[in-house]
Amino acid sequence: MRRLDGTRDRLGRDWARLNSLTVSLREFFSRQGYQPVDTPVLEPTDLFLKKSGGELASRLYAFTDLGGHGVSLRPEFTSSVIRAYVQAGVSPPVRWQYAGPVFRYEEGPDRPRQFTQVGAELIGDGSPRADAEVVGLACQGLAHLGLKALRLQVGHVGALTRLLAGFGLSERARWFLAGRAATLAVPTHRDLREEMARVGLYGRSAEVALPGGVSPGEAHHVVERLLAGMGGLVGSRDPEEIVTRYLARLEAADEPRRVDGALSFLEELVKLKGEPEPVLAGLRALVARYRGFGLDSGPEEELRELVALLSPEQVASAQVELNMGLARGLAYYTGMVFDVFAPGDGGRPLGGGGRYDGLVKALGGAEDTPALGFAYTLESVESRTKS
Amino acid sequence: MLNFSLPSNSELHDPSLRFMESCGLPVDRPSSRRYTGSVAGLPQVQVLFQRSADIPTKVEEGSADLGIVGLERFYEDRREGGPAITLLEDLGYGQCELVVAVPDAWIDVTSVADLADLSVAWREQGRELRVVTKYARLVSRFFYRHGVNYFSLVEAAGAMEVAPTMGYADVIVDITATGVTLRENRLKMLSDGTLVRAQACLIGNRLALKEDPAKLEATRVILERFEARRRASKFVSLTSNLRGESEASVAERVTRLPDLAGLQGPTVGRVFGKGYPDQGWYAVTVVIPRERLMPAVEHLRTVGGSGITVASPSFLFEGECEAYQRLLQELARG
Repeated sequence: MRRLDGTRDRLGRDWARLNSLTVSLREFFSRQGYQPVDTPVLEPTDLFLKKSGGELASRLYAFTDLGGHGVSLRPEFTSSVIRAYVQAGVSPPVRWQYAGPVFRYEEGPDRPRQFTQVGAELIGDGSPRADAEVVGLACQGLAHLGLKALRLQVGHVGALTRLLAGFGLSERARWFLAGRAATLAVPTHRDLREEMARVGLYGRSAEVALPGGVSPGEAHHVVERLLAGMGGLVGSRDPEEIVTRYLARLEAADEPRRVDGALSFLEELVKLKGEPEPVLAGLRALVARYRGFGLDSGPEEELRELVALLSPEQVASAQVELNMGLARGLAYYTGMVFDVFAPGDGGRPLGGGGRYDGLVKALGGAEDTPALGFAYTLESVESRTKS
Repeated sequence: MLNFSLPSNSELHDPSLRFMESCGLPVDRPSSRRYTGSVAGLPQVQVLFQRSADIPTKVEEGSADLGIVGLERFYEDRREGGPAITLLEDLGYGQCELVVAVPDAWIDVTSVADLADLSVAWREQGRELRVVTKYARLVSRFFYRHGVNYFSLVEAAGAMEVAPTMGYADVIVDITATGVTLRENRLKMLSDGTLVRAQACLIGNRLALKEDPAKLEATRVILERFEARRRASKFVSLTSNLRGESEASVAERVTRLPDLAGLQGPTVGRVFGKGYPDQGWYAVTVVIPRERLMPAVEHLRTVGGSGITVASPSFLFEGECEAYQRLLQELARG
């Protein structure tokens, strides 16, 4: 028997090295006031689908257990931690930290399918000070391990998501674009359109159009009669729903014009990257131009306040950049997002996170509770701490 | 002994036996209750008759070395990075498609994207799109790749086509050759809902073939026959009489349309006419793709041909067996 692709055995020193990193980070987080918690490796599959943009669903290790429950190995910690918070009924604010394996199915035998996350969440504080605290903790943790000259990239998904809503795109298109915004930073714009066309979000037009002068009520009535006359099979659906969706589709929510508009905005947005001051000025100008689409100055002001709080001491002397194209793969983020990189490393971040103010309520919390957090990919951290 | 699994049930049973026979490898099955058989001329091969659905697994685990199975079944069952590989993907029979079908009154759903929209809308209402299929892995991959992320799979038992009517599933994904059964059950295919276009294929266990030269040699013989038979089915051989001054002048006329002048070029030979002395007749033979038959006949007529006979070759062997060379490369990859 051999171990599965994408997993690894850790023996002797190999185990000790990763373990000492975990212990060191957890002790550091404890000293900063973050209490250790642990959650199950196995969770209801629904937990991870609730607020995922769908993308994550395709990478879950999900199965039905002998009792008939749909369960998944956790692909990340945040959803579990928030579920535990809601279930325990503790009162905010709480500062929690965790460490353990997460599982994501990746294509190709060389990609890791199990890796280790060490992270922290701050639940119940929506202030920029909390943003600075968590961003700072992520940098200080790495500095504590001896990593120097870190690079911090901070963005804000608010500008992105509010604008996509403002363009009147369907929910599926919004998820899609929010998840792929980062790819626009490299000149693959056309590919994105192609990819959207492949999943039916671009260039899809209705086969027929309603004749002019037909009121929505009349149209509904006519289509309903036609459907009844067909005598076809509706299955488990209500004919009413079929007619409504059919008529809505004639309006083609994601018509290319709207998608093109959103894409040109996104292209401008992702160019805003670099030193904080010029990026903030650029963002202000961009927001002013797109004000009609529901954008406001909120994201810019939040970022400005956050940047002011990120003193060199706070971020362990990391170099601070803003990157408006930074959009994390998980769809639950609502505000500030960030990644921390090792020096000179353009590749994968050592860790990252952000603010997800809607998640507590989405997972059954009684009231809106602001929250944010981050996690390191410990194997990436390990590869940078080897000397 | 090379163990070669053939489908014992399914629509692939009879065509597989016919195909083997047409390849000059007739299968002898002493009785329909016997689950083993032999191949004339290949004493080192034992035929095992097994359920189609089991064949990929048998080849995967190595209890069979080779097997004939629908390509869609193999794609569904094969283990990523496992020892089972395809040796020939198109044996030329058992053609079918794995398709997504929905109730025909769903006028708001004509493409997979519409299904993706519906699954999102239902999710908001706490409803799930229920998909019945025997191809869980292929369906999950296809749906995820096309943006359908919220669905549940319903276990298939018996005829799936009635599931939407009976109400235990909303959507079915199944193989169809003609679409008739789907239509009769008031289902329609989605315009872009074809997961796999499949036919019978030959699969093998690469570890078994790598370790045992005798098995590899038996496989080579089978591949040679299968490939040459398949290739031959795509070509016809035309022979025509032509009057001319010399072989070269006849050949020149025939090769005016190079793509109708045979694989390499025409074979030209003297015809010794019955009314000696010679009338200057030559016989020209060309092998051309089957679908170019009539253009080739017209071309031969245009350059003076008559008495054109057409024959189908039983086998067409190239300088080497491509499928076998591919297999050797695959085995060499470690």
